[in-house]
Amino acid sequence: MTAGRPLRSVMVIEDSETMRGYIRMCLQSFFPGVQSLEVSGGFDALRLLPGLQVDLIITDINMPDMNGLELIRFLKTHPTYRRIPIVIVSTEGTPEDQRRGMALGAEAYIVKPFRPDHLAQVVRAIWLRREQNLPSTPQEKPVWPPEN
Amino acid sequence: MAARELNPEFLAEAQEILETIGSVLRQFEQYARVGQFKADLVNQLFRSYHSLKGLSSMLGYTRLSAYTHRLEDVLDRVRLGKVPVSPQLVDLLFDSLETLQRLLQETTETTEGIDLDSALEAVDRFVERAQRPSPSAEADPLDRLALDAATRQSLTEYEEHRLREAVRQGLQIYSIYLRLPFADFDRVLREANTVLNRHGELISTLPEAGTDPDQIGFRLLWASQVSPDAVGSLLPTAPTRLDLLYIPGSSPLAEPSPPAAETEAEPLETEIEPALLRDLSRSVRVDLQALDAVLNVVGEVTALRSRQESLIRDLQGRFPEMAGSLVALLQLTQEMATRLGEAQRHLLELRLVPIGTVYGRLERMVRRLARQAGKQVQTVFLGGDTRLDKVLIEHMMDPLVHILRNAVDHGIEEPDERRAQGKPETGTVRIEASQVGQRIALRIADDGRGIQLEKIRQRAIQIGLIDKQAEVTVQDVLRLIFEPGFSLAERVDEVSGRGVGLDIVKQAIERLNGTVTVYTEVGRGTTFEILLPSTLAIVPAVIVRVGLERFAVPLALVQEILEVRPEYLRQVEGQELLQYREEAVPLIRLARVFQLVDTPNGPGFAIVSRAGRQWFALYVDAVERMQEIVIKRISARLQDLRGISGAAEIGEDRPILVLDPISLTARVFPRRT
Repeated sequence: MTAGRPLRSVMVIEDSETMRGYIRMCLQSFFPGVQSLEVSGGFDALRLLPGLQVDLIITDINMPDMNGLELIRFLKTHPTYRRIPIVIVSTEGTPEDQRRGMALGAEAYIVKPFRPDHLAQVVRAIWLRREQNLPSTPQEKPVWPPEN
Repeated sequence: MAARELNPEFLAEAQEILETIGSVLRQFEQYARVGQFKADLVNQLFRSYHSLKGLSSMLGYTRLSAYTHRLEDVLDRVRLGKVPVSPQLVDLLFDSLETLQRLLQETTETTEGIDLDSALEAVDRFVERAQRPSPSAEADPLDRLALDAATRQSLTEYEEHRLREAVRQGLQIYSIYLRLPFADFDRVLREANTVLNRHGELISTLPEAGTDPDQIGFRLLWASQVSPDAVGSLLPTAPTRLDLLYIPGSSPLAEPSPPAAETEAEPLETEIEPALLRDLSRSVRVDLQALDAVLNVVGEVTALRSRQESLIRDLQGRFPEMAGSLVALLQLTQEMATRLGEAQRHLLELRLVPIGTVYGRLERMVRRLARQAGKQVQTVFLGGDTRLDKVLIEHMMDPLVHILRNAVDHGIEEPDERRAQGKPETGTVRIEASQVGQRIALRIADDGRGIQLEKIRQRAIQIGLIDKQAEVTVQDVLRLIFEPGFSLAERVDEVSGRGVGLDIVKQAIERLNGTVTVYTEVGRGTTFEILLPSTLAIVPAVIVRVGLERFAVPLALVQEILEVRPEYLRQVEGQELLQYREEAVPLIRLARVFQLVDTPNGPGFAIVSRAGRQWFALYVDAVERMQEIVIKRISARLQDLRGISGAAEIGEDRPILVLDPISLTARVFPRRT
């Protein structure tokens, strides 16, 4: 992390326990002291968000209890949550859904499988931009792997 | 960091997914055999393969991920209507379950067990044959829906497809708007989902922002034949708004035939090798509380058994004519003790995990701390397979982190300084775990500058912990660093531990029935030695008697038990000493400490123990037996009573107190200042 406030808490919305563990390991090894708030689906995320200070959300699109895209839209139009950056972590099988997620205001998407440093790189870019108070344009949104 | 660290979790979760696929498949089969599409089941199958693919690719199991990818693709085609449901599909999926099980097994072995290429070909052949011709260009049925552009934008491809299908089938499509109290929205939604799927197909659940923070809105897109006036009565709560997005024209409704019976389908009779039925995951996730409950029961049965044994012995004295039977009974009850002991050991084993599971975390932390402090530090980890109670490891994390912080911040020197002293520029922090008898030893050693005793002494005088004239030994000085509020750092910076002193470390370790000792040598480094019980729950103990009271002393804390003869004892400056081997160690008379009726004339015993490097002996009237005890916490008020770590049931009328020799010495020998 370069300057400013460190990334403190990240909500991870993902129904696989192993995947949540992996994301937690990635975050904790690159962002010291970061807390990962882990939920298995949209319902729990919506229920917990009002009581939490969340700096970043990492979410899958394919979730068991609700439409993940609509969750993104909900968050991005919500007066309180809309400033929370969102990273979509999804598999390569759903390019159209990813495109839509980005159009709805997600800051980045990462295709599974990914390496820890890939996630870190994307998160770091978002956080840096957030610190410098720069809006992101669609061209600048970090995507991993980079498109050719 | 390797994702393979997550292997046990992966195996457990993968196994769960395969089981889910199996049980969903059995339900799916009932519909699929008659060619009926059941959206929620198809979607569940899709999601299962999808998750398994994601997981296996993450862990680098390319064969498993390639195969699940192919199956996910089949299910994706099925759910998007490109491949019809059919008995052949069911067969393919059941067959694939066996292949998946074998591929999962491969991940735990070194050899490749199956021919992946032909498994993949089988899937491809199926898709080729089953593929429906792509529909000719037609007006998108979605355009006939009264659906706003924003909502349409956030539908997934699959949801769009289901809406199109509903239009084609001539179903009504509803938009049901529910405003729900935040407190239990998920419960109401789950109920609504169940009902709506029973009477149609819930296609999408869309959250909506509102103005009231105590409420949350949801829009449900639902395809059904139910008439609009009947919808309200189906739902667990009245909808705020109900819209019909699509009203079918004259298109006839296809009557969906429900499956013949509601009963569970018979399991398919396929020949499965026994090995495939074996659960491959070596880990079962068990709530530690559940484990503790079982342990407690076993512990209590053990206590009952002890009581049984003493009753039998009592009977033996009174009824010599029954000697034969009573001996047999005694043997039985002793056999029971052995078995119960085994049960306890196995249960305790379940709580143990290798400490190596947290080495990765510690290493990353040291690396980060070193970077922040501008120092070069390498870590050496040893004894990673030493196993400790899971709860204990978690409780040890904070103390370990603190000690490591100290090592990097205060111990290891700057590269320049190290070079000047002829040391390698890179400092070393060594963490070593080992089993020492019944206990686990953790040694955290750095090769830094060591602790400057004089500096500590000065500091202690400065803050009034010791008197200026007081003579203090090396051990006394080292003990000072664990005093509350003692810190050498003038400022609270990030690396030095955010103002938390080593007193917290000591307290945390003592709470776990452990001890911590420091060894240091100026210019050579500092070593923290932590001794812990390997498990928290059950410990073998010596039951001793003092006057009329019984106490339990955890065996791990007992070095030796001696019969005390008068010639072993002497008085020096009011302190009673026991000659133990070559040394004289302080003798603590428990009767005096706890103000019990003393029986001074009887022959007594000394329990020799030590706290750190301080040896001492506890004088008791009798050593009755060894017994495994379950240490239970006692009330907070009693907990503060130094010298007692808890209570245990030993099959007597009332529980007895468990002695903690280490805190007892602190009570008996308050530091001389």
